[in-house]
Amino acid sequence: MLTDLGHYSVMIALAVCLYAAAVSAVGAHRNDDRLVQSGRIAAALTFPLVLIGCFGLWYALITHDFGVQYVATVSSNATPLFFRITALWGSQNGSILFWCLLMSGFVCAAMFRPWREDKPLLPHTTLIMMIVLAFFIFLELFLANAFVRFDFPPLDGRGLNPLLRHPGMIIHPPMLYAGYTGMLVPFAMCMASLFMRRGDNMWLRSSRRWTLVGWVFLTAGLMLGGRWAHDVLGWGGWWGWDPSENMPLITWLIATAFLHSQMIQEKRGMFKNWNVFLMLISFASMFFGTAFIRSGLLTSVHAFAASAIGPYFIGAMAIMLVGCMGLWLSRLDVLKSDNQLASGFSREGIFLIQNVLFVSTAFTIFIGTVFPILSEAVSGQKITVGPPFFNQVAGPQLLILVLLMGIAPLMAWGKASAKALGRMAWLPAVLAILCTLAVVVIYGTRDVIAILGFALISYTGLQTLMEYGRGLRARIRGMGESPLTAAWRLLEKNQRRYGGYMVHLGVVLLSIGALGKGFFGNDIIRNVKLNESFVIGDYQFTYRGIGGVPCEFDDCQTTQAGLMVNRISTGERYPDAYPARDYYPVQQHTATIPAISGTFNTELYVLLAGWEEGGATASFQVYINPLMNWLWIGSVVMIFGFVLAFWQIENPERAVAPVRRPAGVPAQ
Amino acid sequence: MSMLETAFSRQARPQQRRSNPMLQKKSPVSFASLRLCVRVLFCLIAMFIVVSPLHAQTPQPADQMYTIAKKLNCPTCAGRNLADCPTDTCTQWKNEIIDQLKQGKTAEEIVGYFEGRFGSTVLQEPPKAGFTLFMWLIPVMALIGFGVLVTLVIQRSSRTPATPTNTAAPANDPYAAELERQVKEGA
Repeated sequence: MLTDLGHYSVMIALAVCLYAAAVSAVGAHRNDDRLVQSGRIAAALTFPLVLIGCFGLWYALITHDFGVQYVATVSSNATPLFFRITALWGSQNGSILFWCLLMSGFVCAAMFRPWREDKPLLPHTTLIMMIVLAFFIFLELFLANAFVRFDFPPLDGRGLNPLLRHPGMIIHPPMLYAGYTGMLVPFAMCMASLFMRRGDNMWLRSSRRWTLVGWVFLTAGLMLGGRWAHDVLGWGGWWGWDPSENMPLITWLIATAFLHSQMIQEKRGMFKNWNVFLMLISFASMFFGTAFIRSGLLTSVHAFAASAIGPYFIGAMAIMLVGCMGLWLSRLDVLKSDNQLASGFSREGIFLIQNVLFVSTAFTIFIGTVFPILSEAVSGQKITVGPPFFNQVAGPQLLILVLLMGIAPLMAWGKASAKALGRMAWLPAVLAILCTLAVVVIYGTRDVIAILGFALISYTGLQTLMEYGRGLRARIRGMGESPLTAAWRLLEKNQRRYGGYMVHLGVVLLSIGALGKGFFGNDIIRNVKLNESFVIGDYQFTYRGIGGVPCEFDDCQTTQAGLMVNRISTGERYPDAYPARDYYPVQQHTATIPAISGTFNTELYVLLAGWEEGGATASFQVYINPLMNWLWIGSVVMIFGFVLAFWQIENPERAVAPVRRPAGVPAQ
Repeated sequence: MSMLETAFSRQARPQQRRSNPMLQKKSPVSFASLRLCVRVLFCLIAMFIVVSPLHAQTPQPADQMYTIAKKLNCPTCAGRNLADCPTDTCTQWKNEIIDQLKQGKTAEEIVGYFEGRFGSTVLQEPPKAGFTLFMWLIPVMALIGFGVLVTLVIQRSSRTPATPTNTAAPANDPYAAELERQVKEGA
């Protein structure tokens, strides 16, 4: 009953959506504020309506109502309550409903923001957000309905996909969805600004915090996805260049490029067209990414939900792109730059190079991801594009981006001087070389790319730290503040800048982790007898036994092996490793549960690859992952940097008060 | 490196002539000695690379199989290479590699055997030939094209007389503001 109520509520949400869109369009046309306000309230109402829909489905999941088809697909009588709640986004139909919930949540929040001098943007922002939201609710109701019932309900359901039973997987999809749907707000504001024939920075100022929120959710989603892959998929890695990882990464790269290039428009009035372009492709990449993963065009690690909704996505995206491009082209005259690029050797110049690299990296990943389809369509040749392609083609571009991160803060706006650059860069450069030497000695790597990569990354890290140091020194000397006060004031006065540098530091740590895992590591597979040892690098593993243990869930059987781990050179004993395998009879699925041993800096990742004769011999796969833990620390630092940068934007009106334009005056 | 050096020399000279006292004071290391320093460090790195011990590994047939398996995909594990895939099918493939190794086949022959049987979809790294070559070339060409385009735009805009720019110094700390001012005057 409650479930049906939820179903009806989502139907009403679609109607309300269409009403809000129509009323906003008419209100904007007639310049009637009452209609615009009515559209605003209606748009905000979609959130509670979709929420009631979600409650309806949650009710069915919690009460084991297997009459609802979706409930029977993602849960069973054995599924614990926590996973019954998270099963809302465990498969396609539910996850589209959840997607609608997040999107309407962002819409609702955007409607409640104080629309002051940017009020002219309101009706068109509402209109665009409502069109997009209506599309997703339409998908949910007519093509992927989670409320459909069986004629004859089964007694028990299939249970949640075993791969999804991990905290990382529980939080990761909501984060990614929030990141994707969060980008709707800046996109809508950008388009509204074009509709209004505005060439000023109002849409950037109004949308900055929304872009940041979308960005941080994407970051967190990607990294949680990596953590999930590391803990659950059992292949020792964290990033596999899988289509479902690549697509959000493409959006992340474009969003990051936009966060940088919008600074140029704000500071120098340049790159206006470029910013519109970035908004456009970031939104298109969101649509395309979702369509791509959902449509089952490509098999991927977690294309749990292949269905026929792909063509609708592609169609909607094509219409949207054509419409937006047309709008953009018709407004080219208002998007003229206020300034010209005086020199390529300046901060604007570096930002331009960096933006080009961001977009070309995103394009590289896009080509690699879609090429299997192209290849099969054009030449009939089936191919698989694995990590080697991405590492070879996108890897160097990403590395240069990391280096630019260490150079750009040293460049002056307008025209920079190489001498000033050299004066500020020599110390971190020398220190970076020393660090690299240390790493070469410790890890004994001879790979030129790894050494070069580490040198560049450590240079950028040190340079970023120097930036903090320089700022602190200036405050202590110039204003006579104590170091603590100076540190606080520095952050307080320039939260956006130093928050950004904190994100840069996070990226540096993350890169160190990725580099360590990719180049300094090693992995082997060994078959050993009971109580026999095998050696990898400096580490010795002794197989001490195997046996059945109780499984974490009711519907599986676990077999666990025990190994003793020693470091040979120091004789140190590390925590024992207990790799295991879970077998799920209902889903006929085997999950490999890794064991982690070693130290903080060198992770030893052990998998049970198989066993014979009741455990007389067993095979183990061992990965040495040096520096890998810095990857997770780096992601946390990135999110901390976001907090620092976001905080200042708390009151945008105060921050931009001196340059406020009279409302409604278009810039030429 | 050479580009950086020409950039240094081109930019540095006029500034030295003007002999700005603050800038002089702030640069304790001359560029000649800096260059020397970098060269010495590079030699040190090279030395360490040669001297540093390799982690010795005893070669085993399992290792050979593993190296080959890393170049292949398994049909049952989407998105992962054969070595990292634990399914039964993949175990069979791995055993097949070991059998072929025992017959004395080389790694290329074994990879070729799998490619001949299942097509290039079993390869982790698509061949750099035929239609697939485009996949390798397109991103590189796009980057070059993009770079050329941007350079042209910059050149065009720097040829036209620049409109007076409202160069708002973004620096909020006095040191950077001073630096910004001097950089402007020097240039």
